[in-house]
Amino acid sequence: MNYETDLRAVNEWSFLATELQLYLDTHPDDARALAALKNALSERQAAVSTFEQAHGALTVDGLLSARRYNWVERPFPFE
Amino acid sequence: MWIYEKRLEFPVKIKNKNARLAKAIISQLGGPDGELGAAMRYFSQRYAMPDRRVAGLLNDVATEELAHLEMVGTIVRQLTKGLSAEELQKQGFADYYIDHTDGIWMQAASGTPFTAAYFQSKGDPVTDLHESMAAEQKARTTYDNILRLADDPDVIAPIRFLRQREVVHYQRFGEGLRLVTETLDKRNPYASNPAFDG
Repeated sequence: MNYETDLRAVNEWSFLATELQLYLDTHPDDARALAALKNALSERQAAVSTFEQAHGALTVDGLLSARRYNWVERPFPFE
Repeated sequence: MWIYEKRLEFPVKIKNKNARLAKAIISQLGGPDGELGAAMRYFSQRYAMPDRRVAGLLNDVATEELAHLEMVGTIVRQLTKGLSAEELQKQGFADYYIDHTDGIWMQAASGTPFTAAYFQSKGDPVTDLHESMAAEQKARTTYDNILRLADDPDVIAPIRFLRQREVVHYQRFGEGLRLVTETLDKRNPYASNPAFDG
C-alpha cells in the first residue's frame, strides 16, 4: 500500500520486460527469453494491478475500476 | 500507436535547484544527439526497414527514447522550477528565461532549436543502422559530458541510467546490422539496397 514500494515493483518488472523485448526483437526464436518475458509480463501485470488499486490508474485501461477520473488527480510523473 | 503509462521509466527526484546545469542537460532534450532526435530517427527509419526484426527493434527503441525524453524534461524542470528571475539570471539562464520563462522547450544547450537536420533516415538498412549506432554513441558521449558537470547524486542517478541505455541500444543495433548484412550478399553487402531494389 506504500506508493514508493508499489511503483518500484511496476518499474522493475516493466524494465525487465523492456530489456527482454529489445533482445527478442532480434532473437525471436529464443524460447528461454520468451519464457522470461512472459514471466516478467505476468509479474508486471500483478504489480500494475496492485499499484492501480491503491494509487489510481497508470494507463487509461486502469480507469475501468476507477470510481473517479483519477487520471488528473495525482501529480504527473514529470512533476 | 502509443499508450501512455503514467510513470517515468526511472525515477527522477531532484531536491536542489541548478539552472546552470539544466541549461547543459537540455541538450539531451532538443540537441543534436538528444532523446527527441533519437526517437524521431528510429521512428522514421522503421518504415523502410525490410527486415521485420530490425523494424521491430527500431520501433521499440524509439518508444523507449520517448520515455527518456520525458525523463530529461523532468530533470530540467525539477532543476529550474520555482527559481526567481533574479536567481535564473545569476545562474546563466537569462537568455532561455526571456523566451521560455521556466517552460520546457526543445533546444540544444547553445539555444539552437531542434531540427530534423539532426538525424537521417536514408532508406537503406545498412546506412540507417550505422546512423543509429553512431547516434547511440553520440548520446553516450553527451551523457559522459553531463556526468563531468554534475555532482548532485539526484541528477547523477537518472543520467547514469540514461547513459547505460544508450550503450545497450548500441549493442542491439549492432545485432540488427549483423542480421541485415547476413541476408545480403556476403561478398558484397553494398551491391543493392534491399529496401529499394528488393
